Amino acid sequence: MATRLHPLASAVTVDLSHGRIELKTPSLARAVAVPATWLARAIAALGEGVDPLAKSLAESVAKDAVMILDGTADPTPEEVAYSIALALGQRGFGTCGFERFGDALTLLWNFPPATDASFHRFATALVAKVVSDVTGVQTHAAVLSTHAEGLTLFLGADPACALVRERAARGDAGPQILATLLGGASA
Amino acid sequence: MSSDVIARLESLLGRVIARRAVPRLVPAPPVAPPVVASSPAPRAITPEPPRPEARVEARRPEGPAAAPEAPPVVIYAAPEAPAPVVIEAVVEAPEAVVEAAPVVAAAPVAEAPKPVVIEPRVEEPVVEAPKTSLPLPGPAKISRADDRIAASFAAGASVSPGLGDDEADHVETLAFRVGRALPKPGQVPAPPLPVTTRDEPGERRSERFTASLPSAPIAAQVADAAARPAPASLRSLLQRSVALRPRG
Repeated sequence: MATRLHPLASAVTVDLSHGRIELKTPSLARAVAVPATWLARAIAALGEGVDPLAKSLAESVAKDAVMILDGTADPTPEEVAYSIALALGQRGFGTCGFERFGDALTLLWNFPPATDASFHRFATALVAKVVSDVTGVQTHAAVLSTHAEGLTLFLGADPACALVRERAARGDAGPQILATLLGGASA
Repeated sequence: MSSDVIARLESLLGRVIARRAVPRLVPAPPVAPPVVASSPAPRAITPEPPRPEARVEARRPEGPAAAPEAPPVVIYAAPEAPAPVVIEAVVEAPEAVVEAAPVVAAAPVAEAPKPVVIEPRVEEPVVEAPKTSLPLPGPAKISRADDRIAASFAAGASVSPGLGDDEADHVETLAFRVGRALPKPGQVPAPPLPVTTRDEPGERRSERFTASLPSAPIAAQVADAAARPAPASLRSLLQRSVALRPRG
């Protein structure tokens, strides 16, 4: 991985004299910092029209993550988690990691801009697109559980994600949903 | 000379001597207030040049010519004028110095030898500090925390919520060095393993894959990577997850 090409210390430069925030990434030359609550409100206001925004951001994040992986063949979960977490963290979107429960793979998104229900559609669209682009495996995502400072998203096929959304909307706990899912026949 | 002339001369001498005494007071500005207050009359003397006779007499206050004729006037005027100026100034200055000296010098000198008595008092809080458990953990405590944290990482579980504040700080430090996302006690509990009836012993354990910096020496300290078998690629894990289908 090209981790040394992307040191965290110089990833973001705040130029207070010009009121600019520069990202040391090839995809973005400049950033504007806004409070996370503002971003969450804007995303909530977009409603179902949030998908293009999530897709655009996901493409940028995935591009950076792929570059951080630097052509690593068949990267491990830790390496992918590092690359995506770094790309997200450079944008103030928190960090992430993967968890595996049996065959079910989940992504633990720590410190996202928001965790409320209005953010879930954006989160699932973003995560699914990023993971799909980085791994080359077409993936969908669904929010499995929410905790104080993060989200746990299930990564899988669309039918399984639909089941997860349905059970989560009913208030079922994440482990219970996974148990139901894993109890079924896997291909 | 007639008695009238002598009387006039005496009166003139008395005036002149009294006036000439005033210029002696002028060169003492610091003590001006007491001088001006004590002799308000001589105001008009400064602009008014004294007569030639008076100058001569003033330059020689103790001269032989004036001595026999106006001793009473000269004696009273001369000592009175310098006395408030010179003596007061000289007396005041030493008084100020003398008063300041004991305050500045005497106090520290008197207290300096006493720190011998104070030193034990300084040591007392140091002795009490360990009893009240300072926030800094001792080396044994740190090593215990290290073991607990390393064990929790190796097990793939979140840090137990029973850590104290000092240990929690140490957890963050260690986690940063390892390159993992900072585990906060009790905030991200790992969900329990789902219980199923399928017979796949190797597939039924949960794992957590967090972002890890490729720093081999630090990773070796925690012995996290060494405890695990070679991890599968994310792509293969993702393909398995995508292959899951809901029952029915």
